[in-house]
Amino acid sequence: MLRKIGEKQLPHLFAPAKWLQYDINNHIKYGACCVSNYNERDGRISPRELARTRVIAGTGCGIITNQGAYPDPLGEGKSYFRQIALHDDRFLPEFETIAGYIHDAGAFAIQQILHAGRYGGIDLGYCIQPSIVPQTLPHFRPPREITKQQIRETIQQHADAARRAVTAGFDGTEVTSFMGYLLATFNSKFTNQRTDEYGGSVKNRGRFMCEMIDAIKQATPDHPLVVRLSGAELMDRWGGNTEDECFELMELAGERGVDMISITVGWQEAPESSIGRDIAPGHWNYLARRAKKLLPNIAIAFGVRLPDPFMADACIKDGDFDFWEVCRPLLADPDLVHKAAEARMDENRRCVGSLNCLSRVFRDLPYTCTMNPALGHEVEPEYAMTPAAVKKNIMVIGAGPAGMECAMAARRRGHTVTVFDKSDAIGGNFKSYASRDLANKDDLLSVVRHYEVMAKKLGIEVKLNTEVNPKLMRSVLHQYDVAIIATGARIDRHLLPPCDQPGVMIDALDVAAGRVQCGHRVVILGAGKIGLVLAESLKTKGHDVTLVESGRALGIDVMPTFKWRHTAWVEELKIPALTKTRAVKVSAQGVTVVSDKDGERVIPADTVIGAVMRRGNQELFHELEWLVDELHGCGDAMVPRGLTQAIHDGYRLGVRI
Amino acid sequence: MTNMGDTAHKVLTDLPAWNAMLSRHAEVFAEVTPGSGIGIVPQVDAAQRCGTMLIWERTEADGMAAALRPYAGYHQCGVDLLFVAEDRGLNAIYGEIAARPLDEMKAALRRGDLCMFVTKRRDDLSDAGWDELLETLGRAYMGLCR
Repeated sequence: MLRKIGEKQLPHLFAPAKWLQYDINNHIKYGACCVSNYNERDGRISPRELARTRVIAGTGCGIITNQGAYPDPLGEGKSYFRQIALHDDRFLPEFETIAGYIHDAGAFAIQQILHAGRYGGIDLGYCIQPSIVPQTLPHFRPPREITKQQIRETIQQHADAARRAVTAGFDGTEVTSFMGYLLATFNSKFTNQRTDEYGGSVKNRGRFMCEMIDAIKQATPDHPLVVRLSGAELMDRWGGNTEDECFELMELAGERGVDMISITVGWQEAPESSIGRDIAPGHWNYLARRAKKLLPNIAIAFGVRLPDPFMADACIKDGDFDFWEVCRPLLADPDLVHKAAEARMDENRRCVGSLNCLSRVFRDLPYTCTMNPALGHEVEPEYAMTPAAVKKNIMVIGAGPAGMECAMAARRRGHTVTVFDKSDAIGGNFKSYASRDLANKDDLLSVVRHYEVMAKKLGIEVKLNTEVNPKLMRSVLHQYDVAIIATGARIDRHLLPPCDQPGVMIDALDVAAGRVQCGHRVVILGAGKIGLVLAESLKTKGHDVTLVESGRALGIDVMPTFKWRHTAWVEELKIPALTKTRAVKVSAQGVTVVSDKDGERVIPADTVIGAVMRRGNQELFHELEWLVDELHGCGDAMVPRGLTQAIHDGYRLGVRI
Repeated sequence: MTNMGDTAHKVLTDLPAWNAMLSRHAEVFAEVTPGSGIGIVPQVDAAQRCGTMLIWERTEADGMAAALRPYAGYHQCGVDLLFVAEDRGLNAIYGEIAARPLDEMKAALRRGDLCMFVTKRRDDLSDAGWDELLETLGRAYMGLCR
């Protein structure tokens, strides 16, 4: 029965589910979409991971899938430096603990088995796959062809891993054919070019999957098996499976008795996006719909680029799929499901699709989340929100992400907090740039809306149009115990060339905020994220834009997973980008630039935008030092970086004052 | 033996144009070690594992040089990087051969008109001097969920 007001608003998502003979609390499955890289190098689960999984267990999902474990002792299936292993009984105690966490939370526990195949062998000099098709991504290991004997051993290893998972207390298992992992490489004709019974037709390519399903079902006959399968590989131009072939493989899995199919989209090496911010939410739903139509009697789980519970509820209502499979939105806000159930979605911290999580994992770093600074630090008391021992009166100067994060954390701990900002809105410089984002500005602006809502709900006083300076401080002397300087950063004008024509050279922030208008011909000095965002935005508004960058590449400060997106936009929008080019003078005629390649020349411009490196607004540190007891700084005011660091800095400061 | 069409054949076999391009972009290949090379093969030949491959190879005497070599599949390709090109991608790169061919290669990779296969480990590619080219093509690192 649906009791809470939000559950009634999302009746299909929160209705109790019946899957096989199991009663599941709701239609939400926590997907094992991301390996944490928190664990020991030998695959043993670490205390850090256990603390993290305790949070995952408490997310409120009816089914929880624990992150993928590699099943083989050699590590051919190991894709991440600190991936968990399940090839030996010695790993079981920690799996038992995790299964216990999940059951204590009333959820159904699934353990994923992840043999990375083409992306595996991270500690070895090679990877294994059905045929030797070289890598297209230099990061990964050269392939070796798996022999028939190895196929049998690998299938047995999967079955043994499944048996161990069940021994540890998991209710079921999942094997993943996501994005180029071993199962996907057998299924796909891009990587499966074998001429034996494991290659050729769809049926033959699917033989490995069918034998694996058989082996796992035999090893764990009383426990359900989930298989993650591609609805679209996005590799068909390069010999990969068509969508039709993907669905033939799903049908094969269904015939073999798999209990749930989780639909995935895209290979790592696919030339197009599948989960980035530039893909509209709901874009891939048609794949789930097709799968459900094809296999009406098999549970279908889906959640690719579907971050919104209201959309998911509508999909379940329409019969598009049975379980909303969600992961990254729950990294950003582990309380998402609870907030949805309690009609508090306005408090949700939305996943903005920055892919910070995956950017880090594929650089062999532990994953973190832009929106959730505590993620991965659950084991550390220093990151916990504990009541403040001494309640203080805190002034936060700057209502950008760093200041608001600090304010929220401090307020939650019992401090009294007032935020000052000289502008007329919450959001700081970030808001101006976010509103010009080409990918999905609503994602980024949701961050600002979250701050507006939470300031009200938490009782944080926000004084806008109020510039903090020594005069103001003297007028409120002794009213505040602490001042937090979160005043952001500005373009470092010392790095700009001389300009002999007033009005031609303007500041990037003034343009982003709409305080000044640009002429038709615009030259932007600096092609970091600020320069790129402005260039793209102005170009789409009809301006003739040129980027000038003294460094060798564009987007040097852009998140690695999004750099390609900016450079692709620059190319698509036909924005000339001059790298290794230095601006030496700005005049009424335009910008004089110099490069080794082209020598000196003038680029005509009506407006020149300074978007070079920034420096922190730190003046208040000196001005307020003798006017308040405690003085701290955070975010770009300390070192100009970006949203992730601003949020994390602000939170870390807020939880310790 | 080749399966490629007339246009692709003309593009691939225009060795003087490719050699001129390699000279103009010598800085990109400055670190490439002797004996290291890349290959470009039309998709139709790659699919049939039989055809003609354009090679850009560092020779002891002449620096980077273009040549043609039979193609018989990934296993025997003998290059560090293999670019499989749809006709559209090949024509687009050739169309820019006198101007910005490497930028066009980068764009073709992004459009999916060109697919790059690496036949060596990342470190070996680095030792062979391909870092600058990989950087130029935006492929220094692309192992990412997107």
